[in-house]
Amino acid sequence: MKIGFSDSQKKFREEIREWLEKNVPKIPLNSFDTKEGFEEHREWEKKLNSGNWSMVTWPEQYGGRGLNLIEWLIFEEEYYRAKAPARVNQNGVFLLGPTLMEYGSDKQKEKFLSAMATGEHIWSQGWSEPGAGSDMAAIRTTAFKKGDKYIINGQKTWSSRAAFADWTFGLFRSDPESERHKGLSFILVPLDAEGVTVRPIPQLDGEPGFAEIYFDDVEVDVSNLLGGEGEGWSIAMATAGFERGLMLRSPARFQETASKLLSLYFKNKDNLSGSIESKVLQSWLKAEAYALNIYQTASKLMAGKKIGPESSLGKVFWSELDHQMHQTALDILGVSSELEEVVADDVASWIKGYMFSYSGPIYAGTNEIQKNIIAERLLGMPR
Amino acid sequence: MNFTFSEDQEIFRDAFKKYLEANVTPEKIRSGWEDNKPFNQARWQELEELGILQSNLDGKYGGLGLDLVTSCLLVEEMGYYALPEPAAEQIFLSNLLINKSTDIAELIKEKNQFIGVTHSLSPNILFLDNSSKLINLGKDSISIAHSKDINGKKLKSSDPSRDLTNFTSENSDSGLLQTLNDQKSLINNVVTSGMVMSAAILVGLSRKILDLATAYTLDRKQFGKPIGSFQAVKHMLAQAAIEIEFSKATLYRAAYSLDNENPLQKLHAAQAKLQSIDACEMASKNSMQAHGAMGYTWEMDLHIFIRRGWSYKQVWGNKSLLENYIMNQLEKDLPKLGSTYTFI
Repeated sequence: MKIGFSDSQKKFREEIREWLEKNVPKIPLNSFDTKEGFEEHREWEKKLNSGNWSMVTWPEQYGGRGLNLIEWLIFEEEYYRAKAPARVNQNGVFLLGPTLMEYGSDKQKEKFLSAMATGEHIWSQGWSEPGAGSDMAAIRTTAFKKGDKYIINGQKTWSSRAAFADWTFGLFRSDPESERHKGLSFILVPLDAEGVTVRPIPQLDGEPGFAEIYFDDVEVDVSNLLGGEGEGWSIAMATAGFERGLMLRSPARFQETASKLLSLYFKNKDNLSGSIESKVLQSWLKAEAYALNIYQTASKLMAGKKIGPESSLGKVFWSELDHQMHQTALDILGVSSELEEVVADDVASWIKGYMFSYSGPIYAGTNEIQKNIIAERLLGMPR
Repeated sequence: MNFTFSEDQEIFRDAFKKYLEANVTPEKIRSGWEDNKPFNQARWQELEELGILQSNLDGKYGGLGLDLVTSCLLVEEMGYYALPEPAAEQIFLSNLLINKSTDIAELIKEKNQFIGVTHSLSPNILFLDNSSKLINLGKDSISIAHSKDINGKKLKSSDPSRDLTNFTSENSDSGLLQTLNDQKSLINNVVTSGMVMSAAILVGLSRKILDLATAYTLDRKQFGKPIGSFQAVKHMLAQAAIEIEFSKATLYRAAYSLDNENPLQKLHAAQAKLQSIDACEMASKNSMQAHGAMGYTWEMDLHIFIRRGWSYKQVWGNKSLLENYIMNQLEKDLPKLGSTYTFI
């Protein structure tokens, strides 16, 4: 055990810090869930890419920097420290990207990876359906093969970023006789294809962060099938693993929030009760505990160990923590906490963040599903 | 950055675990309780023969000189098996004092004897009758006394594995061998070490308490199936598993900081202790609930472990003290405790 950063890691930190200080927009971008903000964020992805910072963990052969997980955590710490824009293409860069590298053909990698890295293709997710939420194997949207096309019919929902995205990836039932996990295929669909209708759904903050996607005899070339036909479930599970895992939930986000919360607390301390103090302290402790756990996990992965259902432990932990931190901030702000446009004390970002924190325990597999996974697969309790 | 254990650390831990599995069973613990002799002298001897007691003692004093991360792993297993003998205290308190102070090393030459350590955060004397000397840590002085000359009133602990004696002003001078002054930084160091030690015990206990509950819920059937198949039961235990998982890395970092004399070692130790308290409380409460009325009996082994947690939560830094300490540090140093400073 040797805990601490090497000289080259420290140097890397300086390098990214310097680039971000020069390049992060001084005025925050509009939300990427508005048309205007979406395009601003696409530009930011392009800018990141120009400095070769958009997909740092991708191997060099795919244009990335081939960063290891520790370097990735450093990158994220600096990214949150610099208050750099949120990643509009996270579905692409962090979820589909690694999936493509593992399961995609050379042609698919060539077609999609660099367009993803530059922000030319922004991706949305197409997993859930009205009748298939936590029970994802209940998917009914079909993609039947006809010649060299798949004909897609049905409906996806809660598709993050789909309101303005260019592409979606998801699971479709390609075998009409199949049931449950079998007969599903992982297919990439351009959202400008004929027969696709996107109906944006405003989220809690009023902006269309997700959408319903209707497929009405949509024709997609068979070359858009990822992996083999009928192998969609296991590929999707790998992708969902990336989502729950550390790639998307680097601890810096929660540590930054905890530090912000502490500052807010110390500023207002004299008027606050002991229960608020205790929650503020818990927030900092848990954000630290999460960071330490992730660094340990990253070290284990780099030493060649695998993580599986363990990622469910973290998902429940960070999502509950995020909610508690924002709730405590609002309790400190009191009557001004509802004022969505007040910049002082970061009121606007606390209330927005609070709304968003309600989604954490739901998306990427609800915390109830995660607890089932923990109980059954880690603790060995019966199904 | 390599936040993993070395092969040697894991091998030593696993070998010790095997010993504990065979030799520290609930039956043996109970038999010590029944005889009113929780300290088993033969087992203490074995711990010495295995090198456990002197594992972190400097080579020049006949120890193995191992690092405190290794010690932490060993003590976590002592927690898991609820070892009654104070081997954890020997490693993290008295060995540390001997390693760090030649004056103390001069005064304590006996091998394989338990050396008690008291402080206002853990004032009651543990296993006085089984110890040869007692080191009392004051505000800035350290006094060393012969145990046999100390007469104190026995105290009954809620954990029968803990033999306690009252340390009062009347017996504080008896058997006094020497008092060392100006020892503030060493005392602070031992207190930090005590926090890490008790945190390690709590993490081990929590793991065991959860393991007992998952095993029980597989076995126990109601409504025609194992109660572990019900989601209400699963989620309770999954929540405990989450708390335990997120206490571990904090603990190992604290042990590492202690071993490397990191300037923030006390903060790290306090964090570890608080996380481990939360984990143990959640594991105890939810595992008891999963056991139903059986868990509430003397006959079921669960309480052997739960009781131990009640004591170790309070000694060497309890919630209130730790929270105050951390909050003060944060108020002083917040700009230097953010995400980019996790490992400074």
